[in-house]
Amino acid sequence: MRAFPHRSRAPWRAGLLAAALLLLWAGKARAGEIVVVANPALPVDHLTLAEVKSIYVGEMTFLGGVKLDPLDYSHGGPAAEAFFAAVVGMDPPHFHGWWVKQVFHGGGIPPLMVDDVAEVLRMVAAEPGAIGFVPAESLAGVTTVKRLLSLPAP
Amino acid sequence: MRRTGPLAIAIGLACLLPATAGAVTLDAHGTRLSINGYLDVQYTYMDPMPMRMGAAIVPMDAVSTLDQDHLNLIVQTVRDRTVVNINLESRHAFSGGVDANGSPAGHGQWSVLEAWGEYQVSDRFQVRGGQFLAPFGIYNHMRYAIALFAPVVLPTIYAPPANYIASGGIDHLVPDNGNVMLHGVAMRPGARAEYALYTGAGHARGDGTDKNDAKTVGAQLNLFAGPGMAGVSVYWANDADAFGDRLHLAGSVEADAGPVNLQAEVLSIRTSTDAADVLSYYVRLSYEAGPDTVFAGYDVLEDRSNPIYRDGMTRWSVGVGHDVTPWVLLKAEYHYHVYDGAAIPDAVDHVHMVRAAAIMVF
Repeated sequence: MRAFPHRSRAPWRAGLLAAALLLLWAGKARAGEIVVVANPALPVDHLTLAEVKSIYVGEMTFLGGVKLDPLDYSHGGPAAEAFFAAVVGMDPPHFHGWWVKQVFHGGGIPPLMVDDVAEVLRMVAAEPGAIGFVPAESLAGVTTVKRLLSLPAP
Repeated sequence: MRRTGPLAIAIGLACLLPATAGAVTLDAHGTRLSINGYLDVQYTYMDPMPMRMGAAIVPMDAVSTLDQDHLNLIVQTVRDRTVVNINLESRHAFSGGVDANGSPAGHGQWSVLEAWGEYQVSDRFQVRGGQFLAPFGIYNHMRYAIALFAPVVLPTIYAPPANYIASGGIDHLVPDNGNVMLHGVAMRPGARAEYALYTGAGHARGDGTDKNDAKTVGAQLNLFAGPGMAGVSVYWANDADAFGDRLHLAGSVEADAGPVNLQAEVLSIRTSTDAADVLSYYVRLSYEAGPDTVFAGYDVLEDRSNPIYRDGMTRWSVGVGHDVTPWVLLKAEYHYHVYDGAAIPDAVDHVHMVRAAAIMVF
């Protein structure tokens, strides 16, 4: 009998717990699952993690005869944190610092800084050589870009 | 010492810059313009050292200086496959202390160190024309910013110890009167080969006419595989007024094992008269732990054209570095030089040197 009152409150508590778990899951998905995207005209359907690294550190600047233009976020953020940790093993500030040094090392061209996911999707859709990375959920319903690599949540 | 206060304040403020600070970049209508900067300030103490005085070698006073060594601005414009790069340099805007050679040249005046344009056909084939530092060894093409990647003191294959009458090592390779280079990179999974072929038209006189000096042909091949690199560099030049034909040959190796890096290079300069042949090499071992780095190095320089180095100079080095932020680096080094040969006065055949530097990039 004493359990009943508890059981009577259980749906409210369960709902709260489910909502909290959903928020946690959603937050984790935004921060962790990243997709590398490119213009549909780029003549490849998949990139390896090593190839993505080569592109972002400036070793590979062409792909299938197309000049590549990798994109990065000027304000960092969870997607950039997760992406650069997985690809180059650095956080965004150290990756940007590394690139500044590379400019003095041999005239490389750093990734172009953009403001947000919407701008990445717009530029990738518009420019044949543009390559970017975005949170997976931002691609819902998006058909103007090609998915080349998915980086699972860490 | 003058004008050091504002510089110290600037470097202090740079340490406080937000982590997202970076190059100035403008992007409009498919053309990107970016500006990056490099600045270093160096303190040097050097024992009394040997100096050439005519045919004799005499002791030179100890040196203690605080010097703004390099300030470089790289202005880069990129549009699709075309890159234009201008490297502006200002040296020694201030220099304080005792320097037996007098104040270093430059005094803050700006000059164009590099100005080139490049068209990128592909990763494997890119053509560059203009004024640029040649890829020779690991550091020649970026010798102005070498302290970013190595000890502040140049390896002896690139330059003799500071404050000496210039000789030995190699000066800025590829002169300022029009150069062309083909270069590129070929990649396979886990391996990469970089090549460069270049030619230079020689030095120009002040009025722009050809000096018929330092005509140049050179090449470099660097192979990268896993954690290692091996490279060879060749540079031939004709100095009509100095040593005739000069052939520079260099070999470079580098290997990483976790936080440990081993680097070694050897340089041989052969001249047509044998009078200025040079042999120099160095080995450096470094260990990186987060923002901190320690290193130990060993250099040897022999130069037949200079009695100070004719019988050889050996240098042992140790140093530490600390990255305050990704944009601000501090380094401190100790170098111990030993000069061989009966012509070197006993008082200056062992020379201690301390150098510290603050380096800022953006």
